[in-house]
Amino acid sequence: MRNHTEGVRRAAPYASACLALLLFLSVPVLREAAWATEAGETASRFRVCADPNNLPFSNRQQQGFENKIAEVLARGLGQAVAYTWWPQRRGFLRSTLNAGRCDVVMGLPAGIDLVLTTQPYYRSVYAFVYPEDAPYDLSSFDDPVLKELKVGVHLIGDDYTNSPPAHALSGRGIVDNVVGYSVFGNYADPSPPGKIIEAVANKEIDTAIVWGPIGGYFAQQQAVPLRVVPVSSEDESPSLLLAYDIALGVRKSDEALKNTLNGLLTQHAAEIQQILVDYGVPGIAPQPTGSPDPQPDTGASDPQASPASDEQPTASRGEAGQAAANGLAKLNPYTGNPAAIIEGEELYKLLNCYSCHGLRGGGGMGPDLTDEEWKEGTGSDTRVMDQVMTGRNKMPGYDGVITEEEAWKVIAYVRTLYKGAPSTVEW
Amino acid sequence: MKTRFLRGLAVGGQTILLVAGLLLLSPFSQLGQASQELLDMQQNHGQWVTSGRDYALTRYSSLDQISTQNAKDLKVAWTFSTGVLRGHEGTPLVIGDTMYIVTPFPNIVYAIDLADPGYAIKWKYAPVQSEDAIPIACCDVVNRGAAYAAGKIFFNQLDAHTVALDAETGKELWKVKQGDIKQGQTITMVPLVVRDKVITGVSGGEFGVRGFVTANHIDTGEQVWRAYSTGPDSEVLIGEDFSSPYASHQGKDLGISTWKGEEWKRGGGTTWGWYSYDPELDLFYYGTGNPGAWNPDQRPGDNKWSMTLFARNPDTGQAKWAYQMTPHDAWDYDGINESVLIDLPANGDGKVQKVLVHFDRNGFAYKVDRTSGKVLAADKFGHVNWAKEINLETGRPVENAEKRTKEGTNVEGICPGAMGTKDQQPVSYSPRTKLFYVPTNHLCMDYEGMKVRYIAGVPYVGAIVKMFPGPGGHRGEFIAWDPVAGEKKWGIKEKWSAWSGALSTGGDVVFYGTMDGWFKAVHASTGEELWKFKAGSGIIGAPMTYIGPDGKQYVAIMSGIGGWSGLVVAGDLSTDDPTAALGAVGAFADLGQDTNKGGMLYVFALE
Repeated sequence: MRNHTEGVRRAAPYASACLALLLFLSVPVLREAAWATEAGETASRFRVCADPNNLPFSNRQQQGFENKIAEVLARGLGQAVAYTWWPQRRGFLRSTLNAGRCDVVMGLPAGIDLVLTTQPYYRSVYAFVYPEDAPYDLSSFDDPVLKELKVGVHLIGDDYTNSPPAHALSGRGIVDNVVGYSVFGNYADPSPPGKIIEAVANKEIDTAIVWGPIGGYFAQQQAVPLRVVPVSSEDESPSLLLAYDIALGVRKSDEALKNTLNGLLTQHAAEIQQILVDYGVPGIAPQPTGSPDPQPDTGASDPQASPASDEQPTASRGEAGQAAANGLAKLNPYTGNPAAIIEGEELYKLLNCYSCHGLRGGGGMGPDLTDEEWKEGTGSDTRVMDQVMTGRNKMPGYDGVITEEEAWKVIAYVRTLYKGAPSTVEW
Repeated sequence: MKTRFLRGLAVGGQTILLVAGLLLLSPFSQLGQASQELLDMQQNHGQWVTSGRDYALTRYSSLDQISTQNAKDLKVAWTFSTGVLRGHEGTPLVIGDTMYIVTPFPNIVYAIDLADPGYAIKWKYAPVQSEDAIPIACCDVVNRGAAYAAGKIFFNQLDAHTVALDAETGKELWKVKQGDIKQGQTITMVPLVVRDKVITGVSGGEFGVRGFVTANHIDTGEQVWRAYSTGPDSEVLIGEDFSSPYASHQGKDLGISTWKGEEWKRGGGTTWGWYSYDPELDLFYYGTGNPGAWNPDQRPGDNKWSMTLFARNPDTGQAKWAYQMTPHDAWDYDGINESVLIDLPANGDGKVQKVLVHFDRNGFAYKVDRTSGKVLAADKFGHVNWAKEINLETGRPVENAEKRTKEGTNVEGICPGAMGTKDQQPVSYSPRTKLFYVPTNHLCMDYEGMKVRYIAGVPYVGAIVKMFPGPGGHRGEFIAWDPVAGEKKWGIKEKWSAWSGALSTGGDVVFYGTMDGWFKAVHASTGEELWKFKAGSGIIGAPMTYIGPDGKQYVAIMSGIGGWSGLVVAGDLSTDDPTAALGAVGAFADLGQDTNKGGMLYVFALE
């Protein structure tokens, strides 16, 4: 297992480098940069960056459903697909799309901030995967039998951040019987995210709760018949989204390409739908709005949950995913709420937060909370909540001392202390 | 006395020094009791064998090659980067031909070969310790150095471990856990060795840590005794030997009865300062820190034995006397500053006065009979308005009621600020001039007590503090103090707090550093500036001097800004929040314009 603090140490320079790069990319000249790609670079190619080992989404043999959808779109443009292969880890978007190595990335959560996203072309949801002959019928986190079962979930990223199902379980006190599987797995093996489904088939665990496309695809591959049951929408709450709209990503300056792709997605919707069905994606239709704009209430951009984020190999498990995963979920119901902020400030004092961070967030024993540097990763709601509750070995965790609601109020107060660039605000 | 040093020959790997006609054994001799060995070694002013140079903590060396005449010719002789960029508060040791330094966290110990023309690293010991200790160090991750005895180097790790190393090889001999970082316990202080015991304290007064002092056997690390600062007499080690001239200090279990409920269990009184030792009385002296929390209304009572000077027997830990300087503290005036042991001339009755002189955070310079704990005098040595005076009959301060802080009220303009008129920066006493050289802070503060909940391992403060420069706008002053008259002889105003220690010498040169990186030599009698050097980073360490293998006098200082006052630079803090770093940023926000992070040993000599 990774050394936790090492990961943390790396995070800060990563975040600032990422920011610097994004700023740099707003200068158009970089777009002209000629990068070598596997298929060479010509204007007549449909240039896509994708992970070479990430089924069911993509692989080098172009067997993933995102490969198939890319072909459909390229054909619509009268072009051939040209791939730049890049593992979807931290830094993915920075190194690929935003470095000019390609023009399109498939399968991003609609509305994520690092890129411009098209209208969604599908929507999926977290799902239970368990043997057909199992004596239980799962579709909700509230099912009491879950406390008795061995439950597998994916963990996101290098730092083993929890995925939405893990949060949903721990919120219900289901902790001891939960087994975590890295979504990255062993990259030397084919399709690392599928390991958790193999574990269900092998009866190592009783059920997995995974992002729908992973569950649907890998369930088909097992010798044992498995059921894939979407998590009930009643389990969703504004602070815990379980379904996400998935879109294509282009560079922020590529409005024209976005419009073209929107047209193609509409035109080829039926074909795309068929591909998704073939791959067993537990489907739900994309949101009718088709809006590519970030809409916090659609949850399209939830970080952790976001399929495209680290959780989902499909889109970027990489930087975009990370950013989405860590940066974009606006989970805090109290952000900007004056009464809650006042209450949060009182708690900030009572709980001694100011002793380390200063009454106005200036820092001391603990880091400065007013600047853009989030020493533990990003400043997203998820991340900050995790910090407050667990401490992540860098401060005492307040889990068990305060309620989640109190923590959100403290965080709402902390948000008022921020003095960094407004463009980096993720909450 | 003019001392001459001659270098001996290296015999069988052991250097023999001829010092003023006195033949000394090798510093690594195992012969005799460690404290006798240390006492003998302290006679050699060409060495620096204990943090304060001697057990009395005078930080005075009789070396006189560098004088008021030639100090202007001082040049950098050599330098050494510690590789660490946090506050460097310690003092190097020189034992034989080896210099020992301890860095801030991660507390790397370096042994540097002074006999090697390239000043090679003889050995390096890099401890394995948890980074979890970093965020619970209230006032930067400093370390105040190593102690030596019987061929061993002792030091404390930030994560509350004491370690013994072989001085020759750097091999770890033992390591003991003194406290738990999960409870907010850390250690930054330099150990004291007396005979076969290494004595250490603990930090964490901002975390409701219940302070203690521990003695461990120097050969095995085995704990011999531990004396708490609060609680029942049986745990404070107050027994039959104890006495006090003050009524408020007499009675059973005051460490409990002067607290409300069980607040004493998280009552602070940590023990992170410099310790002195009187071999004749066989007592060691140290002070305890603030009571927890900083909000006084949460802990009605005198809060004994926080803010207290203790005299204890080193073998048993039993207290001989105790004197609480600031009962029911409401300002964070930790009493941990060093007590320097000097003998003053007869005062009427024809007897030499055995005193300790203690420049407290609360702004009073206490002169205490170190045999009995009776205060002989207490004089303000800076701008002080929280109290008018110390009543010598009762031992209690006569407070200015307007400046006593309370919950829910922001009391403004209290002087000194929480950092005190002097913090950890150690003074020096020259027996030649009979003056103390005292680096001081010139800060005031606003302070508002607030209700706070105790959570183990989480700060337990309960006060919003904003410090700012005192009247006149300067933030520090380096003063010469006459302990007989109880008054300032001269002073050098400094832009920043004088957070470095002082060194006085037989050449009547006094050295100190400043937070903006100036290392200064001044005339011991007049304060006239003789020389200065701008170091790469601010100076909060304490200087020392030694005779090198070439027979020349050297002066060494660590540069590296940090500490509570320098945390704004060392910790990359926001300069916009005056309450940041427990109120330090209010006074030091602009420090980053004058200096930057660093970690460097500078050694100076005449050409």
